[in-house]
Amino acid sequence: MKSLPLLLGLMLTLILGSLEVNGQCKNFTKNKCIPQISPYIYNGQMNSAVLNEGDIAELVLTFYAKQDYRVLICAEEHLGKIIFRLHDVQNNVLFDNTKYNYANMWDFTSTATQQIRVEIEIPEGLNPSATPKSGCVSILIGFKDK
Amino acid sequence: MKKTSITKIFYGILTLGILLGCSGKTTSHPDSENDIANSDTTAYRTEAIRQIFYNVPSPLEMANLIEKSKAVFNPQLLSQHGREKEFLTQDFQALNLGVYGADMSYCRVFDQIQESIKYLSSIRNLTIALQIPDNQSSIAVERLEKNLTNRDSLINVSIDLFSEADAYLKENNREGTAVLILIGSWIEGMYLSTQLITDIKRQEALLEKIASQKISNQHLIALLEPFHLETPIRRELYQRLNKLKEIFSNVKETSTQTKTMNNPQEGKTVLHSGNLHEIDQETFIKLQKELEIIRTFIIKR
Repeated sequence: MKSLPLLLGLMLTLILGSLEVNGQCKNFTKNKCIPQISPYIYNGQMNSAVLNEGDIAELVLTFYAKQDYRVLICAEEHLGKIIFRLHDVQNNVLFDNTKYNYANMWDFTSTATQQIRVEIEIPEGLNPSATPKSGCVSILIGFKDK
Repeated sequence: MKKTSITKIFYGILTLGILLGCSGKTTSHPDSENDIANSDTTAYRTEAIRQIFYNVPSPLEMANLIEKSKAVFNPQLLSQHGREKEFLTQDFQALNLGVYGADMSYCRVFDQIQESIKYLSSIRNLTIALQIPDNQSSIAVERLEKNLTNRDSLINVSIDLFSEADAYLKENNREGTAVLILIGSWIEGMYLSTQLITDIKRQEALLEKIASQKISNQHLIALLEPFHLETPIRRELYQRLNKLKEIFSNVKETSTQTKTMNNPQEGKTVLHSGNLHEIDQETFIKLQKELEIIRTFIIKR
């Protein structure tokens, strides 16, 4: 029974820690990532999460015809090079940043409205005994005005 | 008795911890609506929100699509700004925050800057009513009210307001309210788009964009699903969105393999695709009427 207050304390610390991490990720996105969208206009939809080494995340996005877009992947530096790929609905690879020196953004326009799946991968570290790294990763969309 | 209370607190905190832990995690999106329905509620809510935010165009993006289609500005279509005190429940406040966001963007792309700023003031008042903490954006709105000419500042402030509200609501387990803002914005954008179609044959580009919103409609339903029984307003909206889904089922979709072509001169890639969404006149009229009904429901009080 004595250990219960300690456990409660630990749980509260974890919860507050989680809020703190989310808050830091939001600040990181706001300060370091959104400025990189320029000259495209940020669509205002913040999508960021704390990811670990080896994690793969994917999102389905809709892009509209004849609109210029920028897809930006923005991650904390210590995570290293992030892999990102875009696929069409038939799973064809449209863009693979490993072929473009791990570029963190891609600008494009589409002749037709379509859904595109964005896949991001945080590569595993070279030292398996080291503590796995984790950090904030954001996917942001910008479009050209008029 | 004391033990029971502590145990309840413990499990309460544990549940909250799990919820918070899940909210920050990015995982693969569900493959279909059925997969979504079968998954764990918490994961479902988190995942659906993540997915939908990228499947519904932002108010400005939608307004840009309207402007590009050579539609004419028609102020009669807009919801009257300054009515924020009439919206008494949080649900209607959130829905009309979205409506005003769409109207502000519509005014802005047609260079109606003064009108845009009036909408921005109403938006700010609704964020206060929704108890979303005031921030730097409010100071910026006041500055804009004094200096009406800065078009770029207007867009930056509005994006700040909406992204702050979105992040705050999601961080504070008020995802249902965040969803309503999104629905309000989407319905208003769709209402304006469908009302601006006067000649189906001559406005094919805008019509195709309206038809392609079939996907957004499906995702909005999935998003609202976990919250739709919480209030009568949400229940009504859920039914209406499903009615729209029935109408959208008549939209024909064709998809082809996308080919990428680099355009080094412009430093961008062009995706060539034959994807198409086709809507016939009868379906369009049904859609237009249903959107009018939902929009009236949202702005009526």
